[in-house]
Amino acid sequence: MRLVVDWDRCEANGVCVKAAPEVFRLDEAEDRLNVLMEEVPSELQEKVERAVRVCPRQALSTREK
Amino acid sequence: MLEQQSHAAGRSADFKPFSSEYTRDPYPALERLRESAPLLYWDEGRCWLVSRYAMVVQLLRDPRFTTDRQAWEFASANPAHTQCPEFVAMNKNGLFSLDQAAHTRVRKLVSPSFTPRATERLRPAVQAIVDEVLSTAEAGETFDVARDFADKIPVRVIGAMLGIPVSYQDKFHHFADAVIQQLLPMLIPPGSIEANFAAIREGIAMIGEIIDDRRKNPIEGDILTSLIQAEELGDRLNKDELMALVSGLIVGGSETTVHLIGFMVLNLLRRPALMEQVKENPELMKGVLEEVLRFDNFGKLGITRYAKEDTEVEGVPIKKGQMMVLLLNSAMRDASAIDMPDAFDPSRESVTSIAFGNGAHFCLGANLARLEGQVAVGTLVARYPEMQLEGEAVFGPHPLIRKLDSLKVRLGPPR
Ligand code: HEM
Ligand code: SF4
Repeated sequence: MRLVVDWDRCEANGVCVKAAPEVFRLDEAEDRLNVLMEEVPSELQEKVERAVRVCPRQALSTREK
Repeated sequence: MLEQQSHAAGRSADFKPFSSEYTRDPYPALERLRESAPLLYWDEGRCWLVSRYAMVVQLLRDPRFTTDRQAWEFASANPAHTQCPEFVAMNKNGLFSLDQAAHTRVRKLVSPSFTPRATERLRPAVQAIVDEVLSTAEAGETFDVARDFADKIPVRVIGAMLGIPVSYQDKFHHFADAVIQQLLPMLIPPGSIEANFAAIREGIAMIGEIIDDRRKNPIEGDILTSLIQAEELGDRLNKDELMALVSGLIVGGSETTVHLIGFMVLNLLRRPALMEQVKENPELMKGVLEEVLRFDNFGKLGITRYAKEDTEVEGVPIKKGQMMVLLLNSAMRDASAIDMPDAFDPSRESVTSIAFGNGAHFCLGANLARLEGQVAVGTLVARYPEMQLEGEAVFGPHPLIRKLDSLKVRLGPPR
């Protein structure tokens, strides 16, 4: 599974970080989101899907490779 | 769903959001909607009512629906077109109405100022405002949390954020209230329409003055100055969008959070055990804030979307131009999405909250509202640990908000 971030939408509010801290991190200095991996291993898929659902800005989506 | 709809006509008349009973506690009526008619055409409101969590979120994320009220089938019947065209023009260009690419372009100009980190930098300023409001009120024995406290804070915070002189701020309230009433114009009593437009005209003139003044006297590092400069460069923001954006910040910033503060205090005073916990552990206030928005939302109805084309939602045909009212309050009590929804539990995970909307138009000021609520109520509780309710909370009439007209407390000795 591939994670796609719409950078026009993301506003660094960090809701996804709570859902999948292995994948998302806030860059405090730059005040923006960092994505630690774009290819999501199967054990993290469920968490990433949850992040996609809870992102309040609808900035996240996934694609099958 | 189709079957439910065919029974709906009778139920539609039973929905009475303007009764005083509903204002005090809308939740039994909302539960009946969720159970018996989760997608209901409400004749009196000339709109669909959407009451379940999953469908509300789905519609908020669905590009077939727009926030642009010009898309409403009855939009042209709004007397604003003839009596207050400057308001119609302003709406068209506001963040709230813009769709897709234009919305993204304008929103990106301001969103960096509203991230959690950027907002956190305002904490000392918010604290100073709360302290000042409290110090002027402290003389009296009884204190009205709604009028003497909640009402005064948000307008000053957004004013300070935009660097607008305090002398203008009284007018903000008037303007913001009038604009909010226009969200569901069919609910404004005919006798009040002219006064509503007058307040809007005055507000628009005021915003024009504020912008002209800042154009002549730019301030280094100031949000409003940077927006004016973006407009002067011309490619990212036009003049009408600038006016509408500033108006949106003023309206969004000065109304809603007032009710959040009042409802937080009310919910704490009604729960003495929780109040004790909060005093011992002030961090708990964050969860209290989220839970007040979820469990006891100050909205009567919800937010609106309009169908851009003839379409269907879960098998129910929706015609182009029809209005969908998404009942956020109801959705956040939906047992199919929220565990034990009727329990007030400040320790629950708040990521599923849709109190600030969801999707492209998700509340720009959510982090600011959270900061204000925490600082305002946190300070009040810490300074007056013996504060008690005095009598009942009084709710006033309002088409859209369960408005606390008065919330009298005895403050007790300050700490
Ligand atoms: C408790 C307080 C607040 C609540 C419950 C609240 C709620 C909301 C909701 C539900 C929306 C989405 C409307 C929709 O999708 O149709 C929204 C949008 C908005 N809010 Fe708030 N709000 C609050 C405070 C604030 C504050 C303090 C500001 C200050 C700037 C603000 C500015 C805005 C703006 C500009 C929008 C439009 C965003 C857009 O369309 O892109 N709000 N708010
Ligand atoms: S939840 Fe969405 S908007 Fe927030 S930081 Fe994550 S991707 Fe960005």
